[in-house]
Amino acid sequence: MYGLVNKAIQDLITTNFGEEKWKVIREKSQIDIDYFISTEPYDDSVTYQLATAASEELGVSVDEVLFLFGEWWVLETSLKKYGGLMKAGGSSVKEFLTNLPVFHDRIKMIYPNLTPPEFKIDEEAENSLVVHYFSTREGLGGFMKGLLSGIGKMYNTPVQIDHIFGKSSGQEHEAFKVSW
Amino acid sequence: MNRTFPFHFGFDEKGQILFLGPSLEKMFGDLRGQFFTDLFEFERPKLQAFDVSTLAKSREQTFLFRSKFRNKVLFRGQFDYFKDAGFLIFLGTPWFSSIEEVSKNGLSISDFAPLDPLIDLLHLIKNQELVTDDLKELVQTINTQKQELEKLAYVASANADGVLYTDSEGKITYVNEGFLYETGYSKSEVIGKTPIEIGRGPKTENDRVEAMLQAFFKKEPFKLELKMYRKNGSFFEARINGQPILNTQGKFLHFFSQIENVTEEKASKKRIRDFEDTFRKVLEFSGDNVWEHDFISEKTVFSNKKNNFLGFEFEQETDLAKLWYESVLEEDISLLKENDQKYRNGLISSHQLEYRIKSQDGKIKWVKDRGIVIEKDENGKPLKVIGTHSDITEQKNAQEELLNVNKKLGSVLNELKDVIWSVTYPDLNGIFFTPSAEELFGLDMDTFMRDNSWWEKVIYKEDLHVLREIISEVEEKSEYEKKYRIQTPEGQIKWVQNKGKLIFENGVPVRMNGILVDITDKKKTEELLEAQEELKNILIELSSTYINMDLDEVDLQIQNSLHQIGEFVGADRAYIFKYDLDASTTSCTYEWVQQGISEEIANTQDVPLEFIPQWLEAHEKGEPFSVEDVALLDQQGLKELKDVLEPQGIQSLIAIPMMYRKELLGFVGFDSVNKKHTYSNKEIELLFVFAQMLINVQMRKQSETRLFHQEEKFRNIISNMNLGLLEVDLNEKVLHANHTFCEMAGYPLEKLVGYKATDLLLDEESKEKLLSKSKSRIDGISDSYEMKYQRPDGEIRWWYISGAPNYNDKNELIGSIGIHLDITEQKRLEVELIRQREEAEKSKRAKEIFFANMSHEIRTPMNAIVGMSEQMAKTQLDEKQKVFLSTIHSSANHLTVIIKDILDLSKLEAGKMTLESIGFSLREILHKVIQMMNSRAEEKGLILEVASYDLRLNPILMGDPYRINQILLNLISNAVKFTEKGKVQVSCKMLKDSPDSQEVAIQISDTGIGMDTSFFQGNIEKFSQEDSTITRKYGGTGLGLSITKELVDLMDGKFEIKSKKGIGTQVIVKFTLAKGTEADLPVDIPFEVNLHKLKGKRVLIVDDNEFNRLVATTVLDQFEMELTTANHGHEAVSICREKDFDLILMDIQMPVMDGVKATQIIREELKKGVPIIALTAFAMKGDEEKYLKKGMNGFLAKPFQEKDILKILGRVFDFEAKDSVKPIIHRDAKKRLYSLDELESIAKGNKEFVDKMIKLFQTNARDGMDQLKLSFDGYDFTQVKKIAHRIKPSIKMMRISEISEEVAELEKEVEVQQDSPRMRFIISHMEEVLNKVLEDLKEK
Repeated sequence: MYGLVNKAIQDLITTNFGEEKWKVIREKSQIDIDYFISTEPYDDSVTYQLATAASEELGVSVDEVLFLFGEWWVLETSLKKYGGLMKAGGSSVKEFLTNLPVFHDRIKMIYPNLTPPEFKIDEEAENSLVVHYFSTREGLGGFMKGLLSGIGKMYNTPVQIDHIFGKSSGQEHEAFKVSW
Repeated sequence: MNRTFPFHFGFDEKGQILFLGPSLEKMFGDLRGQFFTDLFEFERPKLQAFDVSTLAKSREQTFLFRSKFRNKVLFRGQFDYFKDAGFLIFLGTPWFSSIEEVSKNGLSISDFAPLDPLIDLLHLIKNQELVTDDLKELVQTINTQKQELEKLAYVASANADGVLYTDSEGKITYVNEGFLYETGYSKSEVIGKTPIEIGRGPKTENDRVEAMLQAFFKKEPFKLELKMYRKNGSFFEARINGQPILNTQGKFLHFFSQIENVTEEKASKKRIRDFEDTFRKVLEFSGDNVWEHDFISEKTVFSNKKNNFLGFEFEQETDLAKLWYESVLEEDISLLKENDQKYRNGLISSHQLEYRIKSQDGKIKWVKDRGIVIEKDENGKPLKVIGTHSDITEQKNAQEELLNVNKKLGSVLNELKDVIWSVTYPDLNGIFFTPSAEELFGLDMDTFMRDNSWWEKVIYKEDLHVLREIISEVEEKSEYEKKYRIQTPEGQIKWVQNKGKLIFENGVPVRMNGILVDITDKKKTEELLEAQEELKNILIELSSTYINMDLDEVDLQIQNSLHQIGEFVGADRAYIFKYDLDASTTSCTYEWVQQGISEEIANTQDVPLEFIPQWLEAHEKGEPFSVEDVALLDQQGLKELKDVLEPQGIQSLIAIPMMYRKELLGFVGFDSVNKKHTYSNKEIELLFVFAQMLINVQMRKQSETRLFHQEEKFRNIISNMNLGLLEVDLNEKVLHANHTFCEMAGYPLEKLVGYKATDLLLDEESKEKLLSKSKSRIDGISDSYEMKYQRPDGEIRWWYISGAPNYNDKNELIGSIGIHLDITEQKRLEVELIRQREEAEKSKRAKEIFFANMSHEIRTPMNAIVGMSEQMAKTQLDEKQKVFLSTIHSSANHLTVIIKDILDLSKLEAGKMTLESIGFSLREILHKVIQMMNSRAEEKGLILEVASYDLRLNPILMGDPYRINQILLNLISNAVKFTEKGKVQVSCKMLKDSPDSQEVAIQISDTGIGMDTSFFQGNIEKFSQEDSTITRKYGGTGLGLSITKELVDLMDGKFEIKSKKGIGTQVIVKFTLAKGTEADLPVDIPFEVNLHKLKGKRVLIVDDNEFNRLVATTVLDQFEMELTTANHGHEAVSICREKDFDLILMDIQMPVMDGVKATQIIREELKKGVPIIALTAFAMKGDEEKYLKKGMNGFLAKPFQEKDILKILGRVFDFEAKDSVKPIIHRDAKKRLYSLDELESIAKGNKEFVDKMIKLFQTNARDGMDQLKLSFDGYDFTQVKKIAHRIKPSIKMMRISEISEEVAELEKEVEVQQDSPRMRFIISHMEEVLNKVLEDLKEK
């Protein structure tokens, strides 16, 4: 995971719970990193550790932390830092999600050391589609849901996200139905 | 293409876009049809102009160009030329410099080809930005940490206590200045050594060193005190704080120790402990409990362990501080905590608190907690505090209750605006005043309570009497109620209502209670209302004054009202200004000033409006303009206005616009000089009413003045124009007559007024007329008429009267008004004019009659002569007889020509000659004329020839061929006539040619006697030949040339004569004639009569002249017609009753019954349609028409020739005749105009009587005719009737049969027919006939 992601978590916590809380969580996570460099790849475990520590410290489940973080990633980090890029993704939830595979293909090109997830989009109806999510990483479903919800909020379109199936149900990848 | 180059576009060789990729279209819309050059401009390479061939050739080149619109997007790519297809394609993409521009241009990543790396590049650029941000943040973080470290190092070094760092073996790695200072070592002496090596001495407590070392090696913090030695061998009590420093991973870094010299502290602690013991003992007496708190051990001890007010006992080890804190009520605990904190921070050294605790039995107790520091450390921080707890519950409860009561009362009194008071009686010293008193009087409470002197001081000086009244009323009634004014120290005046009442105790008045209410506002409202009411009343009064006042009072009344209103509103000056907007000035028209105030009217004339623009602006909007304080105008930026107002001493003013409809006329204003004044809305409203009243009254004055002036103007006009004005009532009684009328009528006014105008002024006839006019007035009819008036002195005057109904102001008819103009002079002129006109007409008529008579008188015998000689020529005659007959014939013909000439001339003169416009051949006419004249020329041995004929002349010209023929005949016959030898030549020439017409010149030249220039130059007199001898020699009427000239003029031609006496004459006539064609030629119906068809036709010949009957019968007899004759109409009618005819030839003028009447009877009574041809010698213009109207079928003028009658017969019997016939001569007998037979039979030989009667007739007829015409022209038909009646007998007596019936008809019909053509005819005919008779009589 690139530093950008961990930085976003740090940002989420400091903004919402204060600098002190972040310090506590960071110490609790037992990671010995003072500063995340956005474009530097970090081990995925760092992210899990942070999420776990935050979950413990904030008294919410890891999934919830990841969901919060997903939304945060879209609405705060991406929109603020990658505003132009996010907007270039499309002018509606549907367009954005449709462009998601292309988008990640391009990311893969730009960050050679990154293994971005792969997406496949099945258009279902005018106001819903299914996002197939292929990732080598485990347990980031909550993050994914947060991201989708954030995208909905980005376009002022409340979305409903249903986890249709995933590894827990014996499938090889996760699938989310997004309706609005 | 769309997928790989979604931004591509193709365009033709002119640069017109043919197609484009989807993403480009998404970005810019459909660009098809637009031109490259309108859309884009090249950035690189710099192209001078858009050139397709350059683009086509530069396939390898990269082009950069920008859109001219929509964000000026840059494109990068290359052009490819498809020559065969004739277009170029741009292959490339927009080139954005940041990812943000993608969405700004309405695009998303899917609009780019998947292989297009632009998005990735932009992404990378974004990343680069992020990395840079990261780096900045990182540097920031490092800097911050560095600064913190430095701060820490500084703290350590600046610490007065000794600080040292040791490594894991206990060797010193760092010492601060404090340590070196305290121990006296230098840095180099200690670094690398252990603290024990340096500081251990003989008295150093070894057990403590041991403990310290144990903690150090266990890497645990420690704190202990021991004796530490200095370099100089002395020692101090050192308190050492040790602390291992680990990194985040728990790895040991170094050991940190702080060394403090506590020698002095220890000594003072001992001293305090001793003092404490003593102090505690003292305190135990002063409170319920003595407590003591040690800040070091944080232990609290109570002296009173039993019976304390917490209500329970406690053990030695009980944490009393905790217990106490827990017992304190939650809301009070902060007091204690704050207090505690203050002690700990060294802010206080003693305290006193009151708070509540909850004792074990649950009761709340108030505690007074006092304490004092009894021991402090060297920094002034307390080490030990000692104090007492006292139970103050009861005291507190009592206090609280009191407060509650006070609060309740206070809140009531504080809220109270009215002042409730109580004073002693009779001294009136203050006992109690509600706080509101301070506000009301503007005094403080102390003043009220001090003494009674303030009562009088606060009363407004004018209301001071109220104090006495209060006192007396109190004494009398024990209570009072007064309204009066008070004045605050600030000078504010207030109205109060003061109500008071004595309070008795044990029957003795001890004090007085009362209430004071501020009624200022109420009072103000009342005053305002009163003032408004009063203002209203004044306005009502003014308006009634205005309504009833006379015009000459207006100025005075306006002045008065200014005074009244001005005084009322408290103004010092009131005025009215009028605006002259054209001149941009305003002037004062009325002014009132208070005594002592300067009058400004003289200074305020033609004040330029530019001085007061705001003023005018407000007024133009219909708003008042007011200045509350002139002194403040500066601040409002109205300095100019101030400069106008200030010299007049004005402080405040208001100016109300005076608007009439939408026109701004002026304003009424009020100045306050002595004091400022602000006007209320209501006041302004009422002042507007006042302004309106002023306008109304001024308008009334204006309009009444205008009315007055108008009236005066009209009156002047009437009197100057000498118009008599007469006003009468419904009974024609004179109400008023102006001076002119009196003069006109010849009566003084007093002789007119009250008298009946009709009786006084008019004769019976006029009266009748006037009364009918008066009747028409009732219907509102105005009209004008003329009337004859006889003045009392007998003078006859003519008046022109214009009468109109007269109404009063309730629109009721009260009579009529007549305006009288004396038109006697005009009337005289008119009569004269009529007379002259009549005379002129008479003479003209005489001429006409002369011609007619001549025609009649000559033609009648000529008819017989021509007719008979024609018939005679058919008989067997000897040579001599033939010569005689020929002479008769030619003489008759000559005479006929003369008559014709005369008639032509008279027609020409009368303008009755009309011209034809038909096609004709000039050449043919010329030929005929030459032919006609040839024999005569031959007789005289002259050559008559056409010398030249211009072939350019149009074959057919338009015009009157008969008149041209006549002209030529006249001229040629003249030429022949006046030429003895030589020749007469005619030539025709075209002078001008235009598309539609030609100017023709016909020249007749002779070698005759010629004429004198003086004779012919423009002076061809009628009836003249140059020399009367010529007439005798050559004969003729001498009219030929005159007629020719007239005819040429009539045809708009020119007539020129060149002549030389004895040499010859050249006559040239020029005409401009329109060109015609064959179609314009009249169809010439060949005259052919089949004589056999006439045979046996029955013809009735009616003529009173037997010669004429003879001519007609002789002619018609040839055709074997069956002929009947009648001597007059009556006979004809009788014959017609008996017998039918195929044709009637009817003479017109016949005795007994004329032809017209007979025709009428035949048509109407006998209902016969037989053709009737009129025969008449009165061959005047229009005659034919007249007879055809009377029911006749044709017209034949006498004398007629045989062929003329044949033509008529041919027409009537509709057959053709071939043979020529000879005319027959006829004559009409002259009818007598009058006869004296009757007169003479009455006279029975008395000639004198006859003469007298004739004279009488002469006078009567002339006057009677004059009057008759006058009356007829004056439309007085009744009078006409009367006159006709009067002259009828004399006409009868004189047997003037021609008009005797007509005069009877006139008498009978004129009132019915009035001004009809028939009546006019009769009158003019009567006049004509009577004149003839009179002429005749005169001659006799």
